[in-house]
Amino acid sequence: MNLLLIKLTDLFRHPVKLLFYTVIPIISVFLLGILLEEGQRGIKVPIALVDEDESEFSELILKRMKGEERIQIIPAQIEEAEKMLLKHEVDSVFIIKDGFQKQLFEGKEDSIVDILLTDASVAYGIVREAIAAEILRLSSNIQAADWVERSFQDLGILKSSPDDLWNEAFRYTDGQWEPEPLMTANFVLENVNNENNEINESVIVNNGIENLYSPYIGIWTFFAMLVTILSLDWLVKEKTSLFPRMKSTAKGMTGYLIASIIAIFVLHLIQLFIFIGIGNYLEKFIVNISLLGWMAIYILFSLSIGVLLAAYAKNIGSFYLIAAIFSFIISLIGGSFFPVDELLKMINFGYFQWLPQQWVIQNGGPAPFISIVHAVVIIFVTWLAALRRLQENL
Amino acid sequence: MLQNWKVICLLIFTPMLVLSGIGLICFQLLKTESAVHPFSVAIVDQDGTEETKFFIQHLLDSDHITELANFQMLEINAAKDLLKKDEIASIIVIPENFSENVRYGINEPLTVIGNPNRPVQSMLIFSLLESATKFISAAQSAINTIYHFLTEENISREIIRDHYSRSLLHFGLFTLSRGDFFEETKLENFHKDHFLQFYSYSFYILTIMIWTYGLVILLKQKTSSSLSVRLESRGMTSIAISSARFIVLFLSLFFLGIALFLPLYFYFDLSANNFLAIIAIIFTSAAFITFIDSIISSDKGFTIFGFLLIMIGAFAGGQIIPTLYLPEWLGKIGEFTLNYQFMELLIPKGESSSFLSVLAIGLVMLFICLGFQSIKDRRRVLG
Repeated sequence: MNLLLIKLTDLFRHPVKLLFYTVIPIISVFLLGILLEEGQRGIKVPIALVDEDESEFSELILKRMKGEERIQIIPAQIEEAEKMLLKHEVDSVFIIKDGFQKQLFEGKEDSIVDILLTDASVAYGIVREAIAAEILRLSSNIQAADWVERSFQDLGILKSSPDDLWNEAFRYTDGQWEPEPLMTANFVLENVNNENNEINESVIVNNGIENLYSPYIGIWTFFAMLVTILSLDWLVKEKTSLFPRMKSTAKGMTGYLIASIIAIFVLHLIQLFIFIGIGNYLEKFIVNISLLGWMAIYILFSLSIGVLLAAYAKNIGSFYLIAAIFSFIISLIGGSFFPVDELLKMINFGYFQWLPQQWVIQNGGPAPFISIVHAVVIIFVTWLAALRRLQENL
Repeated sequence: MLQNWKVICLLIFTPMLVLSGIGLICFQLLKTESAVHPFSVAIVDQDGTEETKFFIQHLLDSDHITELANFQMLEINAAKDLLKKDEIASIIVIPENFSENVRYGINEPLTVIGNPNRPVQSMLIFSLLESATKFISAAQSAINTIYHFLTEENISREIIRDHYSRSLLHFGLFTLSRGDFFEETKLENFHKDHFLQFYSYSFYILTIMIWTYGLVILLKQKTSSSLSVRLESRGMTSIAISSARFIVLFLSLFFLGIALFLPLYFYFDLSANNFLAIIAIIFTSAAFITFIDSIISSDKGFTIFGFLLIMIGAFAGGQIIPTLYLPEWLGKIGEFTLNYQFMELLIPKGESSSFLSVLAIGLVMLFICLGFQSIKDRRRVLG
């Protein structure tokens, strides 16, 4: 206990060290997180739109498409558009063909828009659907007006001129799109709360789908692991100089190691609390008790891996390098930077949920109890291996 | 440096294998849609009318939707249970009185309940449904118009009902045929497979940068503070140490980088000019990391900051999502990253970047770094 107190006071006696381990990872997480979040939010598909028809309807389509959030419309002439496509300045080219409006009036909608693509066109599907919706809107206005006019004539109840009736019906159909279309969809993100086993509909976002994937917790798992492992660099220096001398002391090497590691654990918990505090203040993510627990377990895991790496590292340089590469690779596979678990599930490859990053990202995953057993076993085994190696070296 | 051969092997092979492994998996995932197992989506129809049945049929009938998702009709509680167990990607809820409200022009939104563990799939379902709602809106507005104009007149209920059901059928079929609006033409491009080539270059550049960064960490440790004091007393200046370190770094990267580029060179049938580009990239990458190293004296600080820079560069520089799709402000920031300049050099778009400009960046960085060291030396002499 005395040893622990000494180590803890030692920690607070070095404010630079304290700042380094708390402030640097937090700044890194938020810097990268904001960049990723804002970057994702602003993602758009640039397309060139060629209007060969230059009619009222084609201009209306152009105008409405310009209002689409995810699509960047670049009006162009055909030669210019093709050039842009080949230089990869646009994803694809949409050409409203000559006679577009005339064909819509005649109800002949086949091949009224041409699409030019290359191998690199990946996102034109979204634009295709959006333009199809606008064409359908115009086309259903026309067809409804035709229907009304025809049935009024058939039933012999036509009072005004057919053109007036047609225009009135056209406007009436189109008017149903304002202020919003008849049918829309809302997006609700379910927050599965593990403690009381109930589902809260936590975030309701209209068109706010981009908020769905919050990158902060994932990026934290990378920087937390890197910083935690790096904070054990003293072990590489002391294991050869100090540890052999400790054999004869009352607590021995293990006692000293445990006290030092608990002190470092406290240091990283401080970092964790500041991170959560700032995240909650900026409303970037919600952390509940179970997630907090998982984050603490994750730090413990990183510590035990760090001790193991330090026990095997020959010198400080290779320790830093292994720490960096290990953290990067395991975070990349573990899903710190993108939802790897979900992507691999699509090809029925589900074992990645066992990686420690997933404990935190999925808040324990679908079976938290199994994840806990898993965590305990991994931490315990790495500890034993590290201690054995350190004792061998004495 | 070679004394640490195990660590060097780790440094060289792990990033290469893992990055190309991940690239390959993602590529397969995108390329062969058949390999992707359709994910399950629950539909909860709380209204249960003809219109909602028609809407569901619309979802089930479109091929590109059923390729991605399996739909199952469920009660709300059963669906939520499955969502909690992570067995379905999302739930589409059609609320009560939905059809009636739509008929009277009252907007009653559908709800998509997304699974937070499957953000990509939830996002896909939502965007599919969003476009489906527009098609239904188009059909429904036409049906409403016909109904409205006929009911305004003094016409028997039977005729109105007949028109109503006929229009429902007509406009329903009409929305399903929307694929015929378009005619797609694929233009031939100079690149054999742009997509694969883009990500191969991207991962190549990332690997080179990680190698550079790792080699610098390894080179640093050889000159511990006590050793550098001794070297200085022998007249070895820090500018000499830095230059020597840079030369070792450049030469090791030169051989590694060329060797790693050979498979790309043969596979994509590239011109020999690309080797010049690779040398410029290796030179500038080495100069850049040496430059960062001269600014940050703490080893730990360098380890963290180096990674942060590589990651910011990779994202903003358009190595993960091509710059084309990134928001404008991010693209502008990205142009200042080396990652962007390197990608431009390998896949040129315009005249904005060239072999000489990348080389110039490297030279400037190297000079600043050496100048910085010589100031340090002079101070030491004066002191």
